[in-house]
Amino acid sequence: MRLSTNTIYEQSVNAVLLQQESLQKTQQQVATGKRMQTPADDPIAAARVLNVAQAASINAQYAENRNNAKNSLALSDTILSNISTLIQDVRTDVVSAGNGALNNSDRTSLANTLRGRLEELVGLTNATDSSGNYLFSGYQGATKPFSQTLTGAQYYGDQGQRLIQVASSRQIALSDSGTDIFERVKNGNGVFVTAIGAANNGSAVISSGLVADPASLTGQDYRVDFTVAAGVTTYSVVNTTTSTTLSSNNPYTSGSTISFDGLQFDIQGAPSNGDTFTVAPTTEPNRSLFTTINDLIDTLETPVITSANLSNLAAGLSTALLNLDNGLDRVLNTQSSIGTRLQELDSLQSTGVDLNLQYQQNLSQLQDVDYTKAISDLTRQQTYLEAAQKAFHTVSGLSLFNYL
Amino acid sequence: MSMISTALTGLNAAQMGLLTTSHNITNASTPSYSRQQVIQANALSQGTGSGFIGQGVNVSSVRRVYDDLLVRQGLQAQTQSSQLDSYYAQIGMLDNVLGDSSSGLSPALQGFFSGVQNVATNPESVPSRQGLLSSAQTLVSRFHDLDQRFSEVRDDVNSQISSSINEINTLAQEIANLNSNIGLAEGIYGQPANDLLDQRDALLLRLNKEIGTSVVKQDDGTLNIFIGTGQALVVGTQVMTLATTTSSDDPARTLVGYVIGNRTSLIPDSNLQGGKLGGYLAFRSNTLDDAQNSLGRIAIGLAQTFNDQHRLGQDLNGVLGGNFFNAPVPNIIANTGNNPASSISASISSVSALTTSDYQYSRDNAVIPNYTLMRLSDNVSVTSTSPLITLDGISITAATLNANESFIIQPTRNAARDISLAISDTEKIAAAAPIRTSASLANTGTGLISAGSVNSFNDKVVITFTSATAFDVVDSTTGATLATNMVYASGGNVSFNGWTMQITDGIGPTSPALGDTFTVDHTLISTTSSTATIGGMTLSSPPVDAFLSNGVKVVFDSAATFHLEGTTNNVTGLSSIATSAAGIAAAALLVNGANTAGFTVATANTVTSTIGTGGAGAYTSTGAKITISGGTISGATAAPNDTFTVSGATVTIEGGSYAGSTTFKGVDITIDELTGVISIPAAVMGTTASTFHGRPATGIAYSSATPSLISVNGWTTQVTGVPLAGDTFTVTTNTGGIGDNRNALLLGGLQTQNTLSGGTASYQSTYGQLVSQIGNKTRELEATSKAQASMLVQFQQAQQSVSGVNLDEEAANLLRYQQAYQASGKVLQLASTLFDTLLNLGR
Repeated sequence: MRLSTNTIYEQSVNAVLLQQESLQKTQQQVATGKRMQTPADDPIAAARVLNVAQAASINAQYAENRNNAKNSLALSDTILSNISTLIQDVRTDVVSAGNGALNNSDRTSLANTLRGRLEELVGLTNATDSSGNYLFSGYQGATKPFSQTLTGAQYYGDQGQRLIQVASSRQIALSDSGTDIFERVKNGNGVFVTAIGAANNGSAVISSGLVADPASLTGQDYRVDFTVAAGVTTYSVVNTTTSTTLSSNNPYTSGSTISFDGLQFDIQGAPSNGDTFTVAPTTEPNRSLFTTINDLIDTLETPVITSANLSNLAAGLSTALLNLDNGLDRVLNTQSSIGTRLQELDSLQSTGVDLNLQYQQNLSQLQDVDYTKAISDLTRQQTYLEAAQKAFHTVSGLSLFNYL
Repeated sequence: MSMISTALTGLNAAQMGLLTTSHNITNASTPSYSRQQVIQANALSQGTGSGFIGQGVNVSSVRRVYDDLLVRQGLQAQTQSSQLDSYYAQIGMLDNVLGDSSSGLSPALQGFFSGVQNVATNPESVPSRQGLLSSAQTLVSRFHDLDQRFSEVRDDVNSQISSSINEINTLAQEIANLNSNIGLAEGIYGQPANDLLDQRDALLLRLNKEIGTSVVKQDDGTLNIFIGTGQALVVGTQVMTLATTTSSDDPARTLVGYVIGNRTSLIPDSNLQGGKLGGYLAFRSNTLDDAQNSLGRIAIGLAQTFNDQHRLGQDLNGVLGGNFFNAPVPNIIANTGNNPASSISASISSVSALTTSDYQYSRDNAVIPNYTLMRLSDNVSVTSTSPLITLDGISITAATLNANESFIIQPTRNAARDISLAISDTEKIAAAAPIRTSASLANTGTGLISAGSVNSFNDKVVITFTSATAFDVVDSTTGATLATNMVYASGGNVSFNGWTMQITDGIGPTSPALGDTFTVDHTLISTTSSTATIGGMTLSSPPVDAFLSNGVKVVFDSAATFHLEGTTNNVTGLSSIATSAAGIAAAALLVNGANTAGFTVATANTVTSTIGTGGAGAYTSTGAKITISGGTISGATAAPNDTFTVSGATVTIEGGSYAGSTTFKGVDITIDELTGVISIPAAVMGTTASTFHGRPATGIAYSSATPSLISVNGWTTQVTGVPLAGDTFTVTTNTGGIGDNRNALLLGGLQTQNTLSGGTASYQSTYGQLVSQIGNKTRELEATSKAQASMLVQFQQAQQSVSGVNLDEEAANLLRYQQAYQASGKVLQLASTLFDTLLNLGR
């Protein structure tokens, strides 16, 4: 085929240009460390890189959220520990108040100690976090949850629980509302209340009781009437709602269990003739911890003069003890739930770290240049370029005019 | 003698050969130059008795070595190569902008949602909120920057088109001039005008670089050149010109026009192929428009979906959230032939259904006008006699236009440019939910109530018609009953969860039949078992129930049933009607119709019951205050649980959100004093009751195994566990709830939700698709333009191998002609010597 001079030059020059272009491309890859300089180099990988980068960034955000959650929960946990210690101290005081050797003024000074403890409790439940937001007021972070009142404390917050997103489909509760921890405390057994008849003369007390068989509960009111005749104490059980007598002339032994219609309780002490005790469904299934302590203070401050006062004192103390236990239970429950959440956060954290590693590996695979290959390409293309340039030099020097 | 003349011819021929060879040598690198050859022919011989004696050589012509077919192939290859190269160059710019990992959209999008998560973690913290506003501003600016880049490319294309047209016109004129010169020159001398022909070829090559042409050679040697689908550019010595023009549909778009006389007619983009101009036009129509629309779709999708969720929340001041972004609106361009008073309005009814196409809305000239909304990417259209059409998520909300007028609608073209922040005050970020729930401390059961959430018009509901005028609403996902016995009138609106729609049969409003069901949310509309369809979907703003702030109590009557009450109603007050106590004194009320004067109403006698939603039948107590004045009440006794009837009273309903009269006279209504349920028969309510919604108040079944959703007043909550009789749960407004982050969590969840493309892609993956599309197209063009370029090189080489100058060959020719000259000169010398011999004979 006949070649024109133009063709000879153009072909040689194009070859050199082509080599220069590939060399330049490889050099860019080596210099930036990226396999793709523009999405056109690998469009599918380019789109995937964007997706993986977003997933990695979301993962990092969750890790940050988890740290925040851990800090908040740890703070709540500490406060609740302090509160449980306080409740246990109050409990100890209640036990010591049951010592028969104490007199009225001893009990009054005990009551004063308890007043201090109650204020301390209110202060603890109004704890704030590092930003000054209250921990236990539900959604209303700027509202102080508890204010002390004459009967205990009033709650001004709400029952909301703050959640935080700690994994792609997991939200963990960051806070618990003051109501749920300190007010939703079971009052007694939570189903029925027992009470000493107002006109009683004896020193017998009735326990709070428990539910032996929920299926047999009737939800009706009952009364236990005591008859003391000739040194023999007997009692009868009357259903005051239906006005029927369930049983009568039951022999009485102090401390033995009385049970009927799914209820179970015991009466201790020495009732007088005509003493009554009532059993009715509770109208207050929950009683706030503050109210319990406040009632305890009132009980201790009531002077004991008659034996009826004594049984009231004993009843009050045993109610307080039971409710304090219920309150402590609630606090410990919450703490254990916090503990579970912290554990879950830890395990999510380690998953998150693994995920992050995977994402980084993915990204590296997609977009990083393989240095070994790139550098060997670079060397090779350099050689090609030099060869092309040399060939051009040689061919362009050949001309018939050199010989004319 | 004859020898001298023969020798002279030889000398001439050699001289011409040398001249031509030197001409070739000097023009070796002139573009489009074809090497020229001297054509020698022997001169006429002289006849004699002893044979024909030659008389030397004639140069008959100088012709160029030229293959027409190869040149034509080369032109074709060149025009395609130029088109691909210019398309590739333009799209390469877009590719770089989109794919940059630090200045693309992705980092800004991620930063924005990080900001949202930070607010979710610390909703009360002002620095967190400020951080969100800053990252939102960054995102908005990034959209603007990207759109700016697109606009710059677009302006660039417009100006390139313009300069290309100028170049084409200039070249066409020069070719026409050459046509005339060639005609003249060849006419005078009868020989091919080689150099002029080469010049014309050079011009033709440059013209083909600008635009694809077809060339027809005329007998008189002139070239006729046609472009597009046969528009003549050069005919002999006549030239037609191209001009830039704009289409009547879109005055901002530079198009190619063809000038005839004093009129410029438009050449559609698709008719112009080849050359740089073809490349720019193809780039603009196939890639740039789509890419800018696609970016805009992400912007508008983000703005609207974020706004919708934001409006369901509550800000630091306890006010319902407003718009977070200023959502862009569709761009509407009136056809330049329209009456200036004609106009239309369009809105986006569903971002998920948006495509990347532009649309055209037009009206025909029929007596009963037909309106058409057409998608320009594939010319699929929807026609109806009602001007309010919805297609692909775009709704025409108002239209005033005359026959044969049209508008272009670009729903997403300018969205990335127009998006902006609507909030600058950190307090206005709505991180909280507007309602909260609580369980009473007096509850004896173990029931729990969920935190509650506000209904979004994204919730899919199933509307079932129980008669031609009543329907129930059920949550499509959970099966929970959301409303029963809602009133429907043919031609009326159906409203729920913030959207409003009509039921038509494709022509006008109609009534559905018993059992017809429609599945609706604000994006997807489907229908089963009906000849009726749904049209004219609009969204009210804000899409939040007007009764949202009214508190509601869920009260369990037993472990298996519950009812709903308003927290501000006087249910117990009502029951005191029959006895005494606050409200209305018993003596003032009826007893068995004995009080014919009815009861007088003073402030103390106002029956304040919050009345809400429902159709005919029971109303729940939420919503507005109802006042009953005048009339007689009958049917009650002193017992607290009676129902009694009020006749002839005036019932005034205050507040609420219903159209039409709110005063009813002469009604018979029933009040259940235990629950406060007030029943007003549908016949009495007339047709204005359709905006009530709600559910029966009493005796709703509850099962702890399958706890139902409770949805009233625009929120939804759920009671689980085992509640007992008397247990109460309350839903109220979230006053002071600055630490609540529920709405912020939902906003953060939008990052990974598939909100776009019919529910198949998130913002990030839609952007990823755009990057990938442009990347793919760029790669494809890179490959095809390289392939085309190497094909072009081959054609050029083939052409060069025929017409190109080889210097070595010319060097050899020089030697040849030089020797021929020397030889002829020698002959001349010999002839002269011979003549001298003759002359010397006589001496």
